[in-house]
Amino acid sequence: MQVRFYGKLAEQIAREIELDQAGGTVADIRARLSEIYPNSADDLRSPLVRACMGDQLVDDSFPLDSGDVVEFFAPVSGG
Amino acid sequence: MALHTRLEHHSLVPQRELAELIAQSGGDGAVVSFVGLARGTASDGKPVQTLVLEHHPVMTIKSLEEIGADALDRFGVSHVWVVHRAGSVLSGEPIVFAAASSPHRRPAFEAADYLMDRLKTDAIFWKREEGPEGSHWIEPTQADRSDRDRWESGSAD
Repeated sequence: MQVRFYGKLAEQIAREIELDQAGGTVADIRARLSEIYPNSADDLRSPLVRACMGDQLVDDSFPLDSGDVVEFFAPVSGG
Repeated sequence: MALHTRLEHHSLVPQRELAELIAQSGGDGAVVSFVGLARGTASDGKPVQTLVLEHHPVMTIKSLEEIGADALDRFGVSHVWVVHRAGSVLSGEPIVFAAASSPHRRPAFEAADYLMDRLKTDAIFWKREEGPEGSHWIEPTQADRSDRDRWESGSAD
């Protein structure tokens, strides 16, 4: 699974990583990422950090497959 | 009604945008425009040299289009025109041009006000201020959120 990050999360983690994950919900991916990147765990678990899949914002129950590309948005700054 | 939204990666020339909107607003009696400039000072008083606006390849322009379409629907103006910078913006340079035209002035004033309140909180950008003392990410302030929320409560209408 490819995971992309935006904003301060991209600075803290990377713009994009390959996550060895069979699947699961967005909440599962947040939990797994929080284990791998403990310094960003508070942000990764925060509801202010939104998940995006196929250019749609999705909630924590959204199911993901191993081949999906999921994106995590740090809180947006506005224009 | 017409909506023009654009993400500008290199430079934004407000007078050019205004001239084009006026040229297209045939029959309208009012054009109201707002230009946002990159400030040279952060909220904590530290100097800012560059404002970096990161964006999403699809969702950012989509957010501008949604905000613009909402302004068209809500105020019934003839044109909404939003051009936003992305990338690195030096202090003093334009970040955003937001404007509306309509047959009479009031809806155009309100639409421009609404556009900026929504853009300041709902546009999908990640902004980082860079200065001689380092850089930091910025988020909407409580004042920005209150400005946006007054349109939801109806108190701004």
